[in-house]
Amino acid sequence: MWCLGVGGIDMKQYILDIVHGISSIAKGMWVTFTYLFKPHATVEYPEVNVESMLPPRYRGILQVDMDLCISCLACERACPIECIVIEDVKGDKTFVTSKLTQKPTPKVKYPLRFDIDIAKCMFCGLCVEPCPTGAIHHTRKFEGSVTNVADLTYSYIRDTDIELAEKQVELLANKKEKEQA
Amino acid sequence: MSVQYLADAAYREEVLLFFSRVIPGQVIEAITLFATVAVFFSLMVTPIAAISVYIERRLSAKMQSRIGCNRLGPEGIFQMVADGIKMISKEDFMPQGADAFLFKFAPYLVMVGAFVSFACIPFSKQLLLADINIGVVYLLALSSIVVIGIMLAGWSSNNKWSLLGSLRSAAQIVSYEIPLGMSLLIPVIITGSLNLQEINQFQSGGIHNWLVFYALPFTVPAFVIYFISALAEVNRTPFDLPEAESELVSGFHTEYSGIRWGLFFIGEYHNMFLISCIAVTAFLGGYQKSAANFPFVIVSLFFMFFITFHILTFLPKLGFSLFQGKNILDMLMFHHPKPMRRWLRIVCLILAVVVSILFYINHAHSNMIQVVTFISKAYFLVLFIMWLRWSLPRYRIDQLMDLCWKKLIPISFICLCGVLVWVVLI
Ligand code: SF4
Ligand code: SF4
Repeated sequence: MWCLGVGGIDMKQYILDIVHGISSIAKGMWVTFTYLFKPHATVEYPEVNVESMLPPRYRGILQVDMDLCISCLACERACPIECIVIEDVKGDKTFVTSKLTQKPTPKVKYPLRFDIDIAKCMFCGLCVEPCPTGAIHHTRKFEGSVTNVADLTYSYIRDTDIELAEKQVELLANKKEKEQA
Repeated sequence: MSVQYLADAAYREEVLLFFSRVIPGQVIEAITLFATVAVFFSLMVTPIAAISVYIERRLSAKMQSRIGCNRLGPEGIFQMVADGIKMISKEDFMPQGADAFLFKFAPYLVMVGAFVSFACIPFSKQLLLADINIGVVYLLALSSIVVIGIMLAGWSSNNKWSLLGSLRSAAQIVSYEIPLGMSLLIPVIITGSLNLQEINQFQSGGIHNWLVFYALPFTVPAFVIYFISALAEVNRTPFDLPEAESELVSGFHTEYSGIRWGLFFIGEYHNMFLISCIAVTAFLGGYQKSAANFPFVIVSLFFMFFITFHILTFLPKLGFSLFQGKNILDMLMFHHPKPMRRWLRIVCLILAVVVSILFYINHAHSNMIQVVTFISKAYFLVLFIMWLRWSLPRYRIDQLMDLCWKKLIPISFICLCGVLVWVVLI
């Protein structure tokens, strides 16, 4: 042994190194071997319905319930990247039942345009928090791919909303005429 | 009737005589040899790369808790065809300032070096392309051709990553050739022959005759050293420094694309299979009959039957839907329902056990059985290499050199001396 010690090699350390090397390799390989018999952690996505596996507070693509929206513009102001665009008109006062507080909330403005650019949206959820009626909310949807990026500007206005807005504007005008008369 | 005629030796003589009047005998011999080589390579060696890639993808997926490719065809078995088509149809790009001739020449060197080595591997008693007396030397010499290919690839790419990778490869392969050669000398000393067929014949008769168990305290470390240095020779993880992705983009084949890159890839997988073949021939009893072969044969037969059944149950469905004019890609995405898969597994296992017992009984009479035995053992080692790859991190270059010069070479030298003493005394 002494002759090997001449080269500055500590024999005991040398053998310990080899033993340690082999045992640690064996340990590592045992870990990967056990993984052969474990079920896989991934799912086969398009076939398996992953929407049910999402966490409960998942922030997916935004949805606006236009029957509840009172066009207060709180969401538009809250959005840090200004991807919400709302245009509205003043109309006769009505009440909607807030989804959050279950109390009637006055509605004096009626949206004619409610667009969210989902391509820009970063799903931060800042628009959801100030909404007084719970109209704007996240869904669990995340599949938004389209071939034209303009198609990602979602418009939430339906024809009935525009009809309603026109009706309420007329009502308000009638009221004002009566008052003046 | 024609089969009968061909089996009749006299008739065969007559046919050969007839042809030899028209064509000289050497030409016939050359043509037969060529045909044998062609059939051998196209049926046995060439698919190895494709199958290995598929197996490695599924295995690595399993080890990383993924599923892996299972879309194209039953259990994703046609994925290798898709990979091949992708590789061939990609653009073949050459960087500016590259040495055109060497750049194009290098992949062939790497691949041919891997292919030609198979010539002297005895797959069975008769399936041996070249029964040369210096088989071991031939293998060691050819493994250096691969280095030249890698060096040329790195140098001709006109890219610093490539150059660094190829230089690393040269340093690594030159150092690891020493323990590799020394540990391969041990079977040579024991059997007294450089001929791989004779080394193989020496190990007939059962597991106690395998060279790895010949002189237990010396041959087992020698086998391990052979395996480690062979891994380093073919640049497999944990010794894949020449193509270290995290440092050198992808080393010597950074600039390669398309089928030229594919040739490197094929060469790598063939080399992997080759070192396993040499390990089996020199240490693990080759194709010789032994009860210890049972687990390897059963596992490989099981997978063979499993895949065959999958394809057989899949083809009618595919044909039917093609007949209906459906989209072929939709049809290829085919999954067996779970209970059927479980049922298939049990049937295949029973079949594999039965067939392996039949193989054991008829081992001496059939070349095919010997080939299956040999390949299943070699494939077990290939699986082991893959397993290593997905378990271990890469070595640093100084650790690599330290391992070679301070550990493997002294130990292999001690083993060599020990075996010499053993052979003389016992
Ligand atoms: S989620 Fe964030 S980014 Fe998206 S619309 Fe709401 S406030 Fe804007
Ligand atoms: S905050 Fe709610 S109620 Fe107000 S405009 Fe936005 S969606 Fe409508």
